[in-house]
Amino acid sequence: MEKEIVKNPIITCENVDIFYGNVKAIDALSLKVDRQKVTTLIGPSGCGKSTFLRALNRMNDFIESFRISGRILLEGEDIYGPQTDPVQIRLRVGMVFQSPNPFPKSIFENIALGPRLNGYKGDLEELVVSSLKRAYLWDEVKDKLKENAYSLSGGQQQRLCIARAIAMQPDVLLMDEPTSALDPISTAKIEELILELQEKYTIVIVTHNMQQASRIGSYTAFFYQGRLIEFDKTSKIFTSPSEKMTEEYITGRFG
Amino acid sequence: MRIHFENALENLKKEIIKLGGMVEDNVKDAVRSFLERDKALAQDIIKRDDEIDQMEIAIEEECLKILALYHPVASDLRFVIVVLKINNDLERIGDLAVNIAKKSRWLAEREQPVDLSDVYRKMAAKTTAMLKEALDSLVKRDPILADAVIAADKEVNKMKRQIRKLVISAYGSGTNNPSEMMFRYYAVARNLENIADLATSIAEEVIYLETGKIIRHSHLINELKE
Repeated sequence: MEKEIVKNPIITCENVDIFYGNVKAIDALSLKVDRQKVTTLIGPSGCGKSTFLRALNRMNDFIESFRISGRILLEGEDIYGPQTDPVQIRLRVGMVFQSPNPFPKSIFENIALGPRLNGYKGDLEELVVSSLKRAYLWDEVKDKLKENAYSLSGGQQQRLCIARAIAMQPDVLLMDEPTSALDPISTAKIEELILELQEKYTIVIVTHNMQQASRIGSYTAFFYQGRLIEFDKTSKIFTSPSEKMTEEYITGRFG
Repeated sequence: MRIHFENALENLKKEIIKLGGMVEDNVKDAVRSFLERDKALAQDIIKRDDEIDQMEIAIEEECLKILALYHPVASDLRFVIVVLKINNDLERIGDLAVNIAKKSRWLAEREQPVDLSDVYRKMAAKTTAMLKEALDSLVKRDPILADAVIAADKEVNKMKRQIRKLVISAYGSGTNNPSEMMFRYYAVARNLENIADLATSIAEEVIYLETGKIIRHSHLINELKE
């Protein structure tokens, strides 16, 4: 699948295979992630898209049977290279999960904890404020920063998690179905936020919501049974995909 | 959900084909009313256009409903958009058939100082064939047939220029009130040419439907064949 559409890749995957034990979850994947753009990963359950997403910041390392071959380069550096520290990778590649998972601490602490533990030298308070502002949460929480994060609504908690991720000043943000647990209004706010965040960050997002993929993605990758079937600009995928299988999936004929 | 959606698309297809058939009949009859100087038939066409107008609105509403309710993508999206555009083209072709019928009605009441029936018959045959094939290409989803329609448009343009010359030389030399007669007589050729243009536009939309390529204003047709 030779495409020169990604002009300025921040992540380059070369012939990546991923196994869980004997099961091949990702098969010969080559894909480039464009800098400061949103790349959405779509495909039916079990197609490997979440496995791939988690491979991008070595979250799969915690699974014992996990094995990877091929190369994933972040700014040219092999993130599975022998010299590479996975903790450093996770600082540069942040993650937001399906259900909001704030720490059982104050709103302020949720943002401040990570940078403080990592020896942040700047003004912590300023960092908390700017992160909350960038996540469009500041106006809603500025008067209750000491309250427990659990007092927030689901949508606010998810934006808090995004604020927490960007407080670490990552290059890339991974999101695994970040709105599947949210109502339409909260979903719309997160989508707006994602579109704003691409000004500064590269975002890779897994979604089961086709309309979400078409609304927010600059690029869309369609996975099926561990293989990348098609990768292209989102507008192309959703108006005239090249592969019949992509067509059948996005029009709801299978999957 | 897919089943309801499929039904809605299938129904939309039936409706646009039905409209196409109605418009095709009106064009054929308009041509006949002109060639045979048949006032009653001309009158009938003008009346029948109301049904076409109503159907155009119904199809447009159906397209909007499908877009709002089902959010179609890929070939489904292209189909709904193409129906929306062809629907508009067909309604305009219906209006052009009415224009021809009105001229037929006027011309039928007056003595014809010159008879160009043969060239008109040829041009009308070509134009109605283009319209028929454009609609066939939609039914069969056949971009090759659509391509042939697009290619035929040049011939119709040529025929119109030929008729213009013939009309000018026939009416140009001082008969009674020649200019109005000339104008209306020639206008039929212009209406036919416009119908051919709209048939071409339908064919272009069929090519978009099947290939995702917008070929309007360009000459990608040869590239497409390969």
